[in-house]
Amino acid sequence: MGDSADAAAGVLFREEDAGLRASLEYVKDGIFFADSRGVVVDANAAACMQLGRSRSEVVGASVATFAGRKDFEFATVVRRLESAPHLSYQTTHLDKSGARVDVDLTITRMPVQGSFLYMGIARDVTERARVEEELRQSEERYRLLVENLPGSAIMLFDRDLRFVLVDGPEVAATGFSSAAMVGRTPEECLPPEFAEAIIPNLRAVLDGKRFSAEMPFGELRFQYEYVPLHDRSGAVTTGLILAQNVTERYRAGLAVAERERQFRTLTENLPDLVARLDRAQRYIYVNPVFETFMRLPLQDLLGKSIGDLGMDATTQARWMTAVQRVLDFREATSIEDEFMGQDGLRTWEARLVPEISEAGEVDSVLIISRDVTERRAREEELRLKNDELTRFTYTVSHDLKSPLVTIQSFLGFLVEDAKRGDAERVARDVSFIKTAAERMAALLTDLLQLSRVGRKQNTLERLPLRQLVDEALAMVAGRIAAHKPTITLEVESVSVLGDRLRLVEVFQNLLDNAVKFSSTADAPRILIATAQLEQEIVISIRDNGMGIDARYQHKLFGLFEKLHPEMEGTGVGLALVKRIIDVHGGRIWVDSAGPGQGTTVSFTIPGTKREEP
Amino acid sequence: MKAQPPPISILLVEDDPAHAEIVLRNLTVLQDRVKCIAHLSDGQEALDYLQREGAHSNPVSSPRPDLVLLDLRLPRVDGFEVLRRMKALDEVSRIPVVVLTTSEADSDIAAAYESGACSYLVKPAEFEAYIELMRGFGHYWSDLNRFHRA
Repeated sequence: MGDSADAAAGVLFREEDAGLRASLEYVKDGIFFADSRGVVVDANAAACMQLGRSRSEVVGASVATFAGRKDFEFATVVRRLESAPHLSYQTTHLDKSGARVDVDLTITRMPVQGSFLYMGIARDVTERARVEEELRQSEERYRLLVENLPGSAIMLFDRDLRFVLVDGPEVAATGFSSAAMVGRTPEECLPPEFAEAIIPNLRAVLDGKRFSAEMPFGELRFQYEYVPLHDRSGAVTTGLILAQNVTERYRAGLAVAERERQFRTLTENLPDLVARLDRAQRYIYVNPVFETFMRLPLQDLLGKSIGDLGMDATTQARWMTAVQRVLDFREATSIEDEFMGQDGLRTWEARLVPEISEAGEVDSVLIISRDVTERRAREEELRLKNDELTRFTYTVSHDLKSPLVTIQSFLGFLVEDAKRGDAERVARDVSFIKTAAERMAALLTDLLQLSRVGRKQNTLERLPLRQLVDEALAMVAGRIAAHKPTITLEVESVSVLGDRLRLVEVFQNLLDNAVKFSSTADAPRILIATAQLEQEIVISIRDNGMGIDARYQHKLFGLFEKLHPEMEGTGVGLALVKRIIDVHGGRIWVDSAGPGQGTTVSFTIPGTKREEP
Repeated sequence: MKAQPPPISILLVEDDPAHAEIVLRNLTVLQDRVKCIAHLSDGQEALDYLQREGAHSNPVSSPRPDLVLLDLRLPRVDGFEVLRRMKALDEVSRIPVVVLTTSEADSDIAAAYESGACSYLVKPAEFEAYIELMRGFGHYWSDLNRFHRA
């Protein structure tokens, strides 16, 4: 302590107060005393330290020396303390080097020996200001963060469920504000249903649970992150909610789910087999039809590769090559195959389609397989019909042209023969012309008859077989009378379901043939019989005539086929019979042990049954 | 004066008796240049004749023809089959076969050549045209063509 300080102290403190003064040296705050002119008369160690000066540099100096403000006037302090017990304010002091020292300053006035002494207590708050500045900056960063978290909001709530902080761009976006929410509970500031929904979650957070939950908010969808905040003792004092608007993601997810749902609705109701293979050619989806077809439950199919499902090696290789080609070249392809199904061999047509991701990669291959057995059969049937039609047209034109050639040629010969007056030749020419013309007429009649069969289906009747046979026999009575065959009937009491006129035609043609072809036998015999063959009743007409070589039996039912050109007829008869039987859904065939061994023509007609006696 | 070459011998296979007679009568316009040595009315019989089987086993009564004039639509064995079997038979495979038919179908023409026919003639409906056809036929086969006669 310097001399002047001692003097000042002597002025200020009585002898018995010396201990008090000494104790001021240990106070952390800077304490100084100034007279009414603002001249420092005493200062403790902390004050000197704050100002970076020695006591002798402080005591005797004007307080304005240390003031951070240029306009500082001690007279103002003096005047203000005339009406106030003390002054407290934050200010800045300058140390010896000119550095600023933030201080909380309190000045009081003490009456001493008829005058006033002014005591200033200066608390160095530089450290606190630094901390406060850091806090301000931290808060600023936090604010920037929260404000810029896209589609987010942060909420803090206390143990009474009152919001203590509400921030983030999503607050305003949802029509709320911090001002309207802080200090209030969810029930007080949120729509009732929403409040009701989140309150259990807030309580759970206060119980220390950390979790996330997705919640709808009107049209929007939010992902809530619930976080309990602990104090030093570990108790949950506050709960934090980080809310993120996930509406877009949610809708995209919904759209994906919707597309998936549509895909499933489609594939699960398709009659086709649908399967999806991944890049390793393993099943990652199959529809119910596929399961049914494979007779395996879904879990036994998924993850399996094509080859695991019971294909033979060749088929498997073919399929795997086809799938690989789709994967490699991104082009759809088709494959047709035959598989043994529950009801026999079935033809399947499969379409292999690449499924291409947004990145342009083939992610998977969709296989859509359809049972085309019936279609192929119909196509084959149509092809056969077409062939038959072509053959028919050709046959008809050929067979009609043939008598025409005869007529024209013999007309030419006739003219020449008549010129020469060769009566014998003229008669022969005319005979050829007549035969050809008659043949043409017969052909046209038969063709007309043939064209009627199948074009128009007359009403079906249940007809006693015996009646049909009798009617037909009556129609060929002339030929029977000429050749006198022995006719035997071994016909059960059966009825046939069919078109009466057409069926009579069948019997008439078959009986006519039988009479004709048995005429070569010494004792012509004809047998009309019925027999049970498995589920069907077979009707047959047998003769003991010239028979048919096995080599030519297949030609028998063809149009204009005549195995015996010397026999009369156009070659339409059996074609007509076959056509009628076909139209009735039946079958017809011929048996003959060979030339001279007789012939049996047999046929069936669905719906033929025994009559109840 | 050049010596008259021997007439060419023909085997006619035709099921329609009227058509057979037309061919035979029209062949007369060719005088002695073409001679029909046999007329058969179905395919099987034609094959039997050529192979000298059954009723035709005697080589004297069934001499080899220079040429076969063949209809296509025949009972039992049709013309195409006759052609195929002939080509498979060593001893008759070199005999040329001329198809004579009413059919103008492309499928028949193609099948006939595939089966070994060397010519395909369509029977004309008109009398004069038929005569003309036979004249042309006779001129070609008798005057221009060379046969392999064993």
